[in-house]
Amino acid sequence: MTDWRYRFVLLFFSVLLLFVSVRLFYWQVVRAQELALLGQSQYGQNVKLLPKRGEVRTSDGFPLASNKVSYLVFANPKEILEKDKTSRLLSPILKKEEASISALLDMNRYWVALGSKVSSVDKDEIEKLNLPGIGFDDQSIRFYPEASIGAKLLGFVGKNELGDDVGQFGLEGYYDRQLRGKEGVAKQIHDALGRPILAKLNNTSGEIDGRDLILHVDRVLQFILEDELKTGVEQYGAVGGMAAMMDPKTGGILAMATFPSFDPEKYYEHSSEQFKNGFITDTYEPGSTFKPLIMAAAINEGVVKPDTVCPNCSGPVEIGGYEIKTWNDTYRQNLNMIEAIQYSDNTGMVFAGQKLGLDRMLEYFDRFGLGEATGIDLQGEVTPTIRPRSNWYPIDLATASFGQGISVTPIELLSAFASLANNGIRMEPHVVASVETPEGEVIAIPPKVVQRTVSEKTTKIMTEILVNAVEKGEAKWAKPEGYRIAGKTGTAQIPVEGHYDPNQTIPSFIGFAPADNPKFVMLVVLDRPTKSIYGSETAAPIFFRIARKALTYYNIAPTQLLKDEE
Amino acid sequence: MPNFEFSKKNNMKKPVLLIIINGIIIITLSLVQVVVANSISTTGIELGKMEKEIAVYKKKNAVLHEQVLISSSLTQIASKAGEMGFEESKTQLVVESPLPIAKR
Repeated sequence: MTDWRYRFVLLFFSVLLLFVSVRLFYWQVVRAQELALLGQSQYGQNVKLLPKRGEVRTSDGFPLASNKVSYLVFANPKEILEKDKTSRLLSPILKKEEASISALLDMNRYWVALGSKVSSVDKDEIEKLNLPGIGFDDQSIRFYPEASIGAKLLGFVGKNELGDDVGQFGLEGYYDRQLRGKEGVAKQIHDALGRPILAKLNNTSGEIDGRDLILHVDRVLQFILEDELKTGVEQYGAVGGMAAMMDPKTGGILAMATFPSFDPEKYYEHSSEQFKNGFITDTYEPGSTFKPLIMAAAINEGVVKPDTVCPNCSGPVEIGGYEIKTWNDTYRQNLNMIEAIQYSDNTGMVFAGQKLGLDRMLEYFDRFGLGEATGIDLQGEVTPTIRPRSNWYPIDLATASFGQGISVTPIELLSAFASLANNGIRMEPHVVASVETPEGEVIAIPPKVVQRTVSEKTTKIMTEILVNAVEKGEAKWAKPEGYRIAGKTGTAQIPVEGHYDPNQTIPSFIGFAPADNPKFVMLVVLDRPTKSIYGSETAAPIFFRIARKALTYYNIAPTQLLKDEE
Repeated sequence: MPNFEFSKKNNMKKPVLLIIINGIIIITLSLVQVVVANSISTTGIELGKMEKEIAVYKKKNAVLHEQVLISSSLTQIASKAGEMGFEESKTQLVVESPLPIAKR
């Protein structure tokens, strides 16, 4: 009997122990993670730590893109008794219709957003009203101190489908991962009443602020270029315009602008077409600004010399049933290669192109980087292709010699032409000079040599040919006195349904200054101006106005005046 | 048997001292804990206040930084200069060093 009772008690406690063990296993192993989270939520909560987006700064350290504090204004309609009065008072501050605020306050909800991106000044004004049921949430938004200056170069910060910030277009798009940084999570421990306790934020993990970009862009040059380009577009009644300045020695982009532009802070008010930076996305037939490349190639190959006389330039040239004329139907006997560029003579260029030959022309296209991406660090670069050799006919060779029948992007042309200002060395165009980490470490991006295009001797000859073109060409009236500037006008026709539009053109001017030790290479392109169709009367004056201001900014004295006085 | 009695008496005497010391330590530490806990019990509130204050200064700093950037932007300076009547110089003055009459 005793033995039976003993065994029963033993069994009872064994089963009890087993039950407890199983239960403990269930809580501590099977549901451990879930319960741990539940426990954590009772004494603390996860706080999302948003990293600070990196700034985009010009070469003088001034931010073109930064961040600013703004507020989301919300209301609890249940707490607001005087809805009409609240709507009336908030309407002018939030710049919203009184009726739309009133409609939001009439909703049967506990939370409605009344306004977003409200400035701290407006927030203070609302706070002074002491309205019940109105609250604020912090928001960090992108801020562009120079407003729309450099907008197409910068891009903007939009939202993805999850509502997170995403850089789009330009630098914001290309360098989004660098600028964005890394989001972190922290646990805030609080007491039973929800007050934070000494442990404060712990278990902080992973938050890294975005990196800053330091550009080659010079703020003053960017301002000058945008200001003059905008004035020029309006003055000549153009549909649009674009211009960029590059340091030929490093490939650094000193300034770049495209009009019409947009306000990056209010990007949502503009159509997506306006976000594109035409300087890297638009293709066009460059016209006469292409001639220096062909002439440089022909001189470099030794097939022509500056004083080589064109034997068949005294009238229009016939090729494959087509008649090639000069732009003003004026022809010169004994035209040499210097004059071919000076008068922008198409027949002279056809002569040089034919002397060069198709194979060598295509080889030089390759050397100048035509038909391939320049590698510029901006989102959305377009690369027009060069048709295969088998599709080239004699007329194509002839028209390509004066820049028609071939498409380029402005950045391609600028990059190729810049090699003539850099002793024949083509550099990769680059906007960002260095990247600065949140710890202050500066990671420099060294200039990248792409390849040699022509010899140094050829570049010296071309410089003199281009200086002569500026001094004696159609645009000489606009040139700033005293400076030696090398350049070339261009008036490209626009292909429309198999022929060229006779009334609309894309005038442009490309050049570098000072000619003997270039500080910048610049290309100005206008889109269909109405006041004049010629580059010498539209793009050239814009180029020279910018160049004069830029040379003054660089403290470069006019050399020719000094020589005249000697 | 007598040996056992002797050792038992000795063993009974020694722990008394230890117990007293341990007791004092426990009481002291308990008092210290009460005092310390009492003194830091409100630091959470203080911490909350300080954090709020830091946040306010950070915001003020950000707003001032924003205002400085706007005021020193070239767009703003050019606009203000125009309002104040400044005009762009159309002429250039170049100061050059005089040429030497003769070089040694």
